[in-house]
Amino acid sequence: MKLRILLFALLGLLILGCEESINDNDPTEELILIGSAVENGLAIDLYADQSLKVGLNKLYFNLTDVASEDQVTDAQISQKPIMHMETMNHSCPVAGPGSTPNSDGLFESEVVFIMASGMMGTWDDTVFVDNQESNTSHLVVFENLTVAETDMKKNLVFDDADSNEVIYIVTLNGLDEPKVGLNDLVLTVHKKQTMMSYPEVADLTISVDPQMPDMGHGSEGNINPAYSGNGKYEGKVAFSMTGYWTIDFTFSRGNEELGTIQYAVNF
Amino acid sequence: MQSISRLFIILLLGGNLAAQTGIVTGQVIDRATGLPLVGANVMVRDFKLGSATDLSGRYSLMLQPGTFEITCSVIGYALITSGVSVEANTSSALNFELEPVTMESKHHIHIQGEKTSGHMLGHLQQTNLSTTENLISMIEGVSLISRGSYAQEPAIRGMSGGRMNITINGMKSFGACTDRMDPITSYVEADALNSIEIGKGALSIQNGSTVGGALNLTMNQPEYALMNISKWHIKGGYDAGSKERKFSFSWKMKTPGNGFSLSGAYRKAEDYADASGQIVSFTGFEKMNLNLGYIKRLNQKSQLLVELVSDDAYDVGYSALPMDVEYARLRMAGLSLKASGISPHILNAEWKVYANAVDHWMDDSKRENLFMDMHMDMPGFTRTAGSYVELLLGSNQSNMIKLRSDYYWTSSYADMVMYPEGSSPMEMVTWPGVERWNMGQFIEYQSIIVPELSVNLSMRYDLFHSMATNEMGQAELHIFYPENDLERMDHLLSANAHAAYNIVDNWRSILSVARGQRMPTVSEAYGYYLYNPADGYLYLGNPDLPIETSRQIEWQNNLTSSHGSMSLNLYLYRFVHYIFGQIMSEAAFSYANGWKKYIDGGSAQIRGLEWSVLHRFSPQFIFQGGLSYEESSLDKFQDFLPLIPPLELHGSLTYEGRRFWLQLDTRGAAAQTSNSRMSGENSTPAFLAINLKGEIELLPGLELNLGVNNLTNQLYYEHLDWGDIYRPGRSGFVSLTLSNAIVD
Repeated sequence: MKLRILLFALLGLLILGCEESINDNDPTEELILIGSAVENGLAIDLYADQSLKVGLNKLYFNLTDVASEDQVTDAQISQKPIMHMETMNHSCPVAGPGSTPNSDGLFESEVVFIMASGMMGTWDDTVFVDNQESNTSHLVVFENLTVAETDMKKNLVFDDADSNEVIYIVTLNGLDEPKVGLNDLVLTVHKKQTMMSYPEVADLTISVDPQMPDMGHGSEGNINPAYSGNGKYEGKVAFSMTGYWTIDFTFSRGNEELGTIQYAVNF
Repeated sequence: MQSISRLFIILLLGGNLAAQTGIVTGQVIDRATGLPLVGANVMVRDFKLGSATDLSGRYSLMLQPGTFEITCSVIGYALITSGVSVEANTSSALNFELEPVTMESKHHIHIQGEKTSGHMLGHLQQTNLSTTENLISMIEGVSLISRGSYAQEPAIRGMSGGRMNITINGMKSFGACTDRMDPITSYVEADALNSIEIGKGALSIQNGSTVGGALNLTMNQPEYALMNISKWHIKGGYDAGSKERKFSFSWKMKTPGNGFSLSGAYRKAEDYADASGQIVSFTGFEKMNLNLGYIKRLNQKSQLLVELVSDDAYDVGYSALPMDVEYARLRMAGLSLKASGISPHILNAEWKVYANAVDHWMDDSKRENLFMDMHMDMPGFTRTAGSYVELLLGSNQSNMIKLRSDYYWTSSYADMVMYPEGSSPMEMVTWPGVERWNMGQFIEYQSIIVPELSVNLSMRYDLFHSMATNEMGQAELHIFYPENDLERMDHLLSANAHAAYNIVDNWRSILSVARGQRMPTVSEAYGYYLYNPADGYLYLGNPDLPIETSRQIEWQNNLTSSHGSMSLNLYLYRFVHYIFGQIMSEAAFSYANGWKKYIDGGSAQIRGLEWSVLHRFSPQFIFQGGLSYEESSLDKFQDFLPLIPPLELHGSLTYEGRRFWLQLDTRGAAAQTSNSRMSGENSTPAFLAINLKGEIELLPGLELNLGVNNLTNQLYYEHLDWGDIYRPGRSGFVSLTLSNAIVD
């Protein structure tokens, strides 16, 4: 009898425990707040899924009407991150946010930071919001963004048919915590057109070749990155064991090989 | 049955009942186990009177006053004759302890499917330095795969590893080395062996399903006796070739209710020299083995047995490999309950629980020339626990049913870490924590239809559940099998049938058919980049492998005469889904020629013959010889199977005196040129090696054993040896045995 009571009690606890966890999730709970600004009755909160770093960053904008405390989802947002250096300013590749929020009402965008903040200069992000609910326009600047250094940004430099030097900015993402087995990776490729303009490059074929120099072998099961939009190429790299690995990406357009970039991973 | 015989005696003597008679009663027991013997014949010599023992081993005879000689006999035991004097109206007690008939060797070897013919190994004498593997390899069709001088792996008719089912006292145990450096036979010392039971192909499926054969090693067990007996011996030996020193001891204490046994062995060997005098580096080893047994007689019908085995090897060199074994150890415990004569229809019953652990650590810490200029280690661990119940049912010898249910769980984990100088360690999991559960049911029916014809049918069903549990190991295999959950459930069905017919009195013919199945091994299903030094490839497991199935037909003929016997065995195996390593990439890199994956190799065949002969020139002078030959094919690839032994022969000439024996034995093989092309095998030249050995009893309880191995100093290696490492050259050995010489 005592056992039965105990079992019921346990069951009850389990049900209660479950109910508690069914609470509505705050969509920004797992995001990192980068900055907040209020301008003309509109609160603009900038989030990222990780702290900002050189490479591909996913940013989220949450708009709130200050008066009603309601989320604003009918809006058009554009942004321009700028690096302020002593002698010059430059931007970086950006996609979004645009005018379509996600299911949580957040506006998503992708920014490829190509330089770390620090001694060399500071990053800010100028954001323009066209609030179509209230027909108002808002401009805020998120200043002094901290962008951590990584060694995942490289330049692919080659001469085009007219012997002009072309620079593609390449970043490798997804290997922050490499593991033995198949690892998803995302390469971004953008052309450095001007200091302020970085159009995406969508027509490349990329092959991946991981190697273990200490062993003299590569690995089987890799999947070459394929274009998935916004300058991103998604593929998989297989690490058959832990240790020091190099990964060679070879870039081609049609039959023309543009060059190879090597990354190193150690785990 | 015996109530009838008792009735018969009473009837026979009934007329004299009125006259004065006396009674002789007693019990017949097995001296080794202390258990009562059922159905033993107790006969009055020179009078055709007799009785048989009942289920508790008891008998009684009514006799007129006088002195009689009573003989007691039962199949499988030595006959005993004892005198008794009978007085009128009194009862005299006469107990018999029968000794199991042992062949002249210290080790019995039973071969399934040849049950009735006996084997001729009896005359192969063993020396104190013999290993378990030496003993096994003297059977036709059994060869050894050698990677050095230690831990050779037995192969039956060219099938080894996962194709065989190896048990120790019926207990499952698995080697922990991913490169099969530690076949489980290497954890048993020859000194502690009582018998070796061998089944070829699927002819013996009692202890597990198999396609290649079964090997059960039974160890010396404690015994109890009717009076207190203490028996001990110590042995010391030395082999000049490998400077091997061996010391072993055994002590047995028997009391009426309990038995206790303790035995141990220590061996240490240096690198040996081949026939050209060249030292073969990394062939030394050190090994220590301990066995402890305790038996308790619970009552007249049942007993409890506890067994503990511990085996430790250190610094085992492997000349064919870039690494050595730092340590290899086994811990094993078993507890069993045995009963006989529980009811008129249950002749024997046994229940056993057991557990064991094998740890194996390979590294290159002893090497100066490092493989790829870096240190590495390769630890492996297996854990196994199981239980079985066995029942022997029947009311007489002519119709018997054996039932066995067994269960075991085993877990295997291994990894490999390499330490490049100035760079990060490189680690991979090579056995991804594979857990396997097995449940098996076995039934065997044996019937003597007419005295000339007997049949034996057996069947076995197995359920296996296997899965890879280690996360890193799963991620590794998901590179190749992204959609596979690395878990599988398998049903296996094996069966065999034998018919034995005495064509004429001295010619017995046995026809056997069998179907066997086997699971892919842990390495075959889940292994990850396991380096095989035999062909220089890395092997990748395949969790989708099918079950390998064999069909086997075998025809055996035994001829006996007053001077000896001869047997000829013809066999054919057909495999479907033969598991085989196929080359996937030949992109060679620093140490490997590429990598292979285990695949369903399709159909394969093995066919061959075994011939053996025993001839007694005189009661003391015996010749024994044998020959085996087989061919193989892997149909889909038009190739031969790997590790198929060539034509092999062995012979021995033995003189057995009263206080000594002398034996000249030889082992040879023809060249093997039918090599497995896909396994990268190369041809092996023929050889003939001769050994001479002998033993003399210097004093009661003191025996000297000495001899010379490889008498003619042949420079040779065998086809199954890895890396074509030469076997030891000529070397002498000597050993002494001291015992308390109780002839009990």
